[in-house]
Amino acid sequence: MDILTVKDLKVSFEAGAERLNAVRGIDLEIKSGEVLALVGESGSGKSVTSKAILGILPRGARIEKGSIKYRGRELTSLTESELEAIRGRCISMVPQDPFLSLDPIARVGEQIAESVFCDGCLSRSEKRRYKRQRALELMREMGIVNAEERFYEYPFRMSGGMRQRIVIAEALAPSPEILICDEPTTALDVTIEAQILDLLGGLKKDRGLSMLFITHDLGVVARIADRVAVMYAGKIVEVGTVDEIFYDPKHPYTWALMSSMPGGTEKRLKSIPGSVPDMRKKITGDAFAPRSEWAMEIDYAMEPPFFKISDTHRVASWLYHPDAPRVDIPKDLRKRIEERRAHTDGRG
Amino acid sequence: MAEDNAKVNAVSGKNGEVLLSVSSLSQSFEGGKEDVKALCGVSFEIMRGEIFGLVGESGSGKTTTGRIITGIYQPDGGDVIFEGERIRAGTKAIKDKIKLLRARARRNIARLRLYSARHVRDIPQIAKNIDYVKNDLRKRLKKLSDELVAAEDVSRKYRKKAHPDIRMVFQDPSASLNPRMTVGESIREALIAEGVKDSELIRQRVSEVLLSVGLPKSAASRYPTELSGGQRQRVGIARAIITEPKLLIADEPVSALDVSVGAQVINLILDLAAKMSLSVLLVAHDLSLVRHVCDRVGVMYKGYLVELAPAGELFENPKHPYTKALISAIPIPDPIIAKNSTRVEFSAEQDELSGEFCDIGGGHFVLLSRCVRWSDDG
Repeated sequence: MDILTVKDLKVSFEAGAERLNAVRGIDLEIKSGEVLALVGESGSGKSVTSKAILGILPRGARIEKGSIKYRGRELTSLTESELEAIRGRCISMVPQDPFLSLDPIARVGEQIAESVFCDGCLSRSEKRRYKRQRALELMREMGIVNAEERFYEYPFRMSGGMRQRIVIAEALAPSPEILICDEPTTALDVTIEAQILDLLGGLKKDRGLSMLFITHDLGVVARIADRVAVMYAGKIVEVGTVDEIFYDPKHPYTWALMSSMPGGTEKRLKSIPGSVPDMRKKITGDAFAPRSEWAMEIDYAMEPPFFKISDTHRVASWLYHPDAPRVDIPKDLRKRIEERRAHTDGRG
Repeated sequence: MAEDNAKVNAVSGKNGEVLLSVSSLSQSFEGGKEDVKALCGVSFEIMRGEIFGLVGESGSGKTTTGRIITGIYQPDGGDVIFEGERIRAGTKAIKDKIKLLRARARRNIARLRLYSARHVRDIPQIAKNIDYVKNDLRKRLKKLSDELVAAEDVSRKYRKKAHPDIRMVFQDPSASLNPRMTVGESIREALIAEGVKDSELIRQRVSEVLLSVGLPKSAASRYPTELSGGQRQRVGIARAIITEPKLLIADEPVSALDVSVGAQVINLILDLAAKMSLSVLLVAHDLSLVRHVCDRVGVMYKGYLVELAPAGELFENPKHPYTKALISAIPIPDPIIAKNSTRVEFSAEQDELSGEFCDIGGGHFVLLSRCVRWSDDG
């Protein structure tokens, strides 16, 4: 069942006299117990989408159009106090930088306890005891040894990985159904990143937690996601299961993104020519067309609709119109995917 | 030293000549109660035209190493030799050694004197012993103080001075460019610092380097804020190559950039390296990038260089437990591999980090507690 659905969401920012269209109409849905990864480069609108869902858009930004529904309940029309009941308890967030997101002058245990709810607690002292106990349980669940001692520590005494564990514990304290993770491992070292990803993967399995996972790192996506949505210039260009996106990508931008990762036989890396479009201007047609070697005339004139590849795989590119010439995934990318495949078969 | 180099070249199959040699660098920073050891005896060489990668996590000392080579930090101990000339030398370690030696001699003499007070009969022998200790101390002190004088000469000569043939590309292009200076002004600074006065020549050189990093000549009159991240990093590279250096130290040059833009910048560095026969020290935490781009790679952990090998060999056949853990943590963009891969954990035991840097053949070096012959099944 879909617990979160976003329909035709448009978000714009104030940019001087004009408005910058950061998100230009996206649809997505998250099913219960599923991890949806939102992939894209900076400026693609992935963080803005997550902030719109939580109703924490910065000043000057507004939702132009569209609906965000949590379990059938429209979020865009809620008042601030109604939203507060949703935030945390239903949808919670793990921000990117664990160095900025903790209160530097509060003990970490107390910061976690603060976000614990105790609906059945009668007296104040009972509430306090319960909150403390829950915070300790969460710290242990996050793999923090000697939670009792760590409870009274301040964030500056902790390493980046440890702080991110505290932040995750804090996000989970109100027992949300959906966790939005905005680049939760970008600020961390690889070995710590791997530990945090394991932790998040475990949470998904044990608690049946749904996640919206925002990242630019395809390696991280491959590890954690069930489904993937690729964003470019404020639109979703391709969406599918993780296997479909990694083994059978369809959109030229997805190809380009995958090809520009180090690997393959050539020493020079594949890069995408040109740069992202200016989002202050009106974009007609396919935003990626000027950088794509497969662009057709229609790409500059009309925005492509989604074409269905399979029940779960959709791609927004005119290349999949029945009348379009048949194009295949670039040869060297196909080769890279197959080589990795062969490597796995050999192993398993 | 020269013999060692020849040996390294022979086994690694690199016929190049050594451009930069770093030997037993050590560095510590003041931090709270105790000093923090940032580098513990790091040694490696970079050949002419080589792309040398240095990887490790935060706090491993990779940036410190780059900064010592460029002269931003004065090392505590160890040397940096560039094209046969000693350009950086640590003095603090030698001073510490002298202090230690003096203290030890003083202690020995005091002990001998105490002994002589109790054993009057042995006084002549003890006096001889004391003389011996004193002579020995004098001899050793002489040697050390010669070393110290030489090192001080080097550090005085090159103190805080950038070597025109060693240039640096910084991590964050928006933080490393002065926002109040136009791109042209930022780029030409290095030439002016070198004493070039002919303004026509300077203007011409600025246009040349702008073109060679793929920016239009007109970019010279723009301000950094008008440029995108990728373009700013191109400016960062332009100002590094304007003096036609022989070694480029690139400290995380693409970690602040998006994948596709980062790829453009890396390609540019590779192209320039080939065209200008530049050597590059690439400091990075992105292991797949380093694997793809570098000829040889050194792995650092907590100030130690734990492993050094040709890139392919290092990733296919890692030996040090830390390298194994690091490689197993690389996120691989393939769902089946990523979800089924097993990770190796590593927690540092002190004995795994001290010892000797052993050659195990094929230009592959590992930090081991004791050098033993490495067998393939081990």
